Amino acid sequence: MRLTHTLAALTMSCVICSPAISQDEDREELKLSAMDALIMAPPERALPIATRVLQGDGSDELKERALFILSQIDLPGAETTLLQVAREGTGDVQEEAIRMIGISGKAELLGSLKALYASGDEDVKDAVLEAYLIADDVDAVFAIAEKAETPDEFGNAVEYLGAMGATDRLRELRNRAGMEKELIEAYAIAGDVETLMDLARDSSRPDIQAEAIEGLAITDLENSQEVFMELYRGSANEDVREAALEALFISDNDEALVLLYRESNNNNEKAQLLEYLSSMDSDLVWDLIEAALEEEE
Amino acid sequence: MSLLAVTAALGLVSLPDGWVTWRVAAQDPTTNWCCVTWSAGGLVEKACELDNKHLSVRSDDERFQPTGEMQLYARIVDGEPQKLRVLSPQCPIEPVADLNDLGRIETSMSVDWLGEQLTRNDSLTSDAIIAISAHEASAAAPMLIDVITDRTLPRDTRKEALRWLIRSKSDEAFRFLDRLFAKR
Repeated sequence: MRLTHTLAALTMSCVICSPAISQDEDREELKLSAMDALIMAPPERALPIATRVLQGDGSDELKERALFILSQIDLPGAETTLLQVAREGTGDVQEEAIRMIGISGKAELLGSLKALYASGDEDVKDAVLEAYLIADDVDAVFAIAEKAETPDEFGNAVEYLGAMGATDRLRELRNRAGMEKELIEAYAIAGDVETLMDLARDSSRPDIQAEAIEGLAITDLENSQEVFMELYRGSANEDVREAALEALFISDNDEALVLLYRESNNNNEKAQLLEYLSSMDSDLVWDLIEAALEEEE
Repeated sequence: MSLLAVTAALGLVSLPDGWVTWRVAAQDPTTNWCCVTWSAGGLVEKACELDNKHLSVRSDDERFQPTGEMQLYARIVDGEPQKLRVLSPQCPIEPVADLNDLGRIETSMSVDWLGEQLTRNDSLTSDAIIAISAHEASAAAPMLIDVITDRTLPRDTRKEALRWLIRSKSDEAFRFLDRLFAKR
């Protein structure tokens, strides 16, 4: 109740506030501050205010803050309203309500997201996946990945699994036909060096091999210089070799590129190696140039 | 012999103010460097506006048969170059009132003159390096190598020269680079 009074008092004081700020902007600012302050109010006081805001015609930002308040209130009314907005709301407010279900971490509410995912558009599906990520609900995301029919939907779901570090679950999906590229990206996000190494050494599908090598480049691979050099030397496929060079470039292995240059007898290959070295802005190249100049002096 | 000497040989006291142009043997005789602009999401060929600060040039214009030459343009003010442009000779340019054509000159003369500009005018450095690299490799590569190994020049200038030397893929370039990367 005290908060409601504060809001009214602040709204009245706005009449004499700085003329540089319009009255509407000022009022909105005050409402937002008051909504933030509701987090400190007793739940039974905060609930009706937040609910009223969600039913009114306030701004999306105000409603999104009201949703956060609801996610923190452990009363049945809060859950009901949150779920109602998640189901019947529109646009940003609906998506925020879905995310807030993730923040609430309440099992019953999380369970309701399954149906929302099935019936929702792309934005709703994304919000549901985000809610599962926030709630760390690996099983729910895995179930979506398993059922996904298009590479886009599958890729999106496994990307979330990657971000959740769900390595074992991602490995269970390894044999999903036609989804290899999406999985490799997820393995890379999850930092699954073991699986990526397997794929990078398998020369039966050079396109997948190349993708896996590029995936490895963004992991914390130990001995990356030796690994990428070995993959480069061991393949005659242009895409695989290019991917290995790209990986050396991404992992900042200038020394390896100089070693490969020394091994090469082909000017086109040398030029390609040097292009990478030049793009890396490598200090090593300049150390070699300065050393050569000193030798000549 | 510098361009100044060339202009003297042509009966001119010094480089005249306005645009001066000359042709040289190209580093890559198969390319055409012509102006383009973005229109409706794609590249469209257009006549080059020499005075335009941001000239967009592509090297694979297929409208013309490559001639194996490059056309250089220098904007001269008070006897000093202020702008440099490199195009293919057949690429159309917007008319300029004061264009002096020196015709075809020895590649080494052109490269030497451009090399001089590297230490005389900081704002021309990048354009001068690109222009040098457009000349046939037997003249361009030694100049680029001189720039790379000149410790008195800024590191950024030397780096740019290295990038263009690598792109030339010339024998001269690889001889230098092989020596550089040889095991010690």
